[in-house]
Amino acid sequence: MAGFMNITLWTSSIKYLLLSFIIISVQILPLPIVQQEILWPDLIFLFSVGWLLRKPDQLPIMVIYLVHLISDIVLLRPIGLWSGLSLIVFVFVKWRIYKTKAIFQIGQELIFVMALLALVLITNLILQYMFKILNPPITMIMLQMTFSLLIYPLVMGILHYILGVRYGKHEDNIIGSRRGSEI
Amino acid sequence: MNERNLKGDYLKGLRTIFVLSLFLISTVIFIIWKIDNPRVERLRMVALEKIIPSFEWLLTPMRAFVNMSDGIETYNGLVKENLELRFELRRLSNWREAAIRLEEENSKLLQLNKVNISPKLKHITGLVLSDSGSPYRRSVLLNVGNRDGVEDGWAVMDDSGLIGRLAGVGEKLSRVVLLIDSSSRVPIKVEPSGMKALIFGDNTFNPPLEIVENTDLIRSGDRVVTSGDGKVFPSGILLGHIIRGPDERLRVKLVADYKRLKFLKVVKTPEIDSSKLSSQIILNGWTD
Repeated sequence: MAGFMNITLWTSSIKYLLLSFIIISVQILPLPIVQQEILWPDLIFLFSVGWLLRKPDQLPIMVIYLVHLISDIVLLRPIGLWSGLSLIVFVFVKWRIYKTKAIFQIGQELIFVMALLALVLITNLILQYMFKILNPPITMIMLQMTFSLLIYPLVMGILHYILGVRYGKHEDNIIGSRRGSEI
Repeated sequence: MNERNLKGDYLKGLRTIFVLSLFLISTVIFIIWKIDNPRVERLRMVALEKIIPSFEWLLTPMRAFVNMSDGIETYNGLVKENLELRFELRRLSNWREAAIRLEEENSKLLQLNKVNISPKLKHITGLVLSDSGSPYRRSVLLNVGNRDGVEDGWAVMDDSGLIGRLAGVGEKLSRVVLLIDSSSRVPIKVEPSGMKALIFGDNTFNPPLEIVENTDLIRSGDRVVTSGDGKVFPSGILLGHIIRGPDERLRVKLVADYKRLKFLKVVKTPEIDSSKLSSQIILNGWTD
């Protein structure tokens, strides 16, 4: 597979790993002042979806999956539940965007991502309820959704300006151009 | 063109299998986690012992930064605090005299009775390494473990009051479920009336009292200590004071400083019934 030779694939994977590392560290850091009151939105999920929407071919599913599995372990969640559910979303987004090469406007993207997040959160909640794990109050989920909604523009900003993950012409990358010639 | 399509189809099939297998892995892990919870949780502790050090290089500078900003904040409050402390000192110096007198009297009485005080409470101090990071779980990781001789279910407190208990002890790390976690239940006693009740964690810093025998005898400001019922906590550890919440429920204002969890004491709880613990603490923490 040509993927292993692709430099951008590697650099973007490393960028993604570093980002996830930082996010997890901040979350598990015993912050004395602010942290206790904040319901952390699932930042890694938001970044992953944002990334896949912009450059679906530069982030291997395997990397995303591993990060989610590790964060399941570190963040003391039921192991395998969140990573499995979000995997479906990531695969859906990746293959969908790959095919359609859709470019979203800000508002559209916001709605799309929030719909995905709600889907995963609700399924997560139903499964947790079914398996009698623990059922966090629905208000907390709503609050977390609101936080995610508020913070997603920031995620978009960081992706665009700091990490340089942007919507672009798909001719920029190898797979895109090959696909382009097919049509 | 044809050949390329064929190759594309082949890759597509491969990808589908790959993704399905990942999903299967997750499902299998989840089911095992659900069935044999205590064992997988123990494995998680082992994994955490491997993973957490790899976060250290990031955590250390962040911690330093947080401590610095915390220091600045404390500095701002110093003048005010100083003034308050001076007032309090004046009040307390009277009490000190009284305490010294009582202590002398007490030791004399104890000598008369030949009472032998057994060192029931022994403790070891640990450093808080990390937070659970999840809004639904209130727990922290402490850098003491089996090698320090702590065991599952021991009570954890800070300088002033109860914090929670150990649930999950690894070789070098252990997890403390805070008593504000929504799975936490603490049997308590309200002093001076002696009413017994349970404190239910509800993710706030002022957890409510439930199953109170008689609410009329409880006033705000009363002391709340662990009752020792159910043998999950040693009795007599201070939790806080009664307040009446905005919803007119009795709540506890915790004395432990939850906003600055740094050094925590793990208190040896000798009379603990360990057969009860595995079902009560570990499973309570996760399945209930």
